[in-house]
Amino acid sequence: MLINGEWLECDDGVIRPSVKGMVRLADGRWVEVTFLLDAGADRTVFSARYLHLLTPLAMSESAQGHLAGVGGAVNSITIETAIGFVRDDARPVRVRGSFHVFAENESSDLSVLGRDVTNNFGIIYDYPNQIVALLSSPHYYEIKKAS
Amino acid sequence: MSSPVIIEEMPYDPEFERAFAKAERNRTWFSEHVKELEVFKKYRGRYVAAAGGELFVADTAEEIDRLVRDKYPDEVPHVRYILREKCDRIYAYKRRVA
Repeated sequence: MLINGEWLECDDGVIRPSVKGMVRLADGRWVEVTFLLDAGADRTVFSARYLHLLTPLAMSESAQGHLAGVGGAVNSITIETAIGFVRDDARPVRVRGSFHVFAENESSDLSVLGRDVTNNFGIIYDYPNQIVALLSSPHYYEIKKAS
Repeated sequence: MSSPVIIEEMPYDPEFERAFAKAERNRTWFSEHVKELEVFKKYRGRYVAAAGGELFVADTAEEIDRLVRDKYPDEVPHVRYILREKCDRIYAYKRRVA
């Protein structure tokens, strides 16, 4: 399986690795999500832009939690839903599970794809060749040395 | 520790493909117009959305979704929150050591 990402220009002019996805709402609609690929993130977290859309999917009244980062702890809620990606052959991939949603706008402008998802793939961040990719069988990568 | 995610390769889904294609179209439009519209200069601390060949601006996520839905109910907008300040972003865990 190959899911292609891209190097995305963000609001500060910095180019960051990203993957295009969709998230399923409680009414079954799919909404667009741009994920930052973050090898340092333990969990996948949606930005606060999705809070009002995803709150109906909160797991329980005690679904509020905290996530820790360089700024300290921030508030979040935990939801259960599906994330959708598109493979290189145009067929969908669905990732079901529990994910977090930031509760504050300034926590992150982008949603973050964490290792709870990406540990299922080989991840390529290749800025010089402008490649961002998620690989799983039968796709694979090789590292070679030019002779 | 939460349960592991479940990854499923799905058969062709026309509804999902249509939604993804609409989102892609709006994302592309945004990328192509972001500089000319000076989005990252003019709208810091606000939400912006690209849908139907237009840029929408609002103060909240609920409002941006409502604006787009009122004019283009079938669209899948590309929505961004523009952080108030530009700064380098580092993902690390801050903890007290003493």
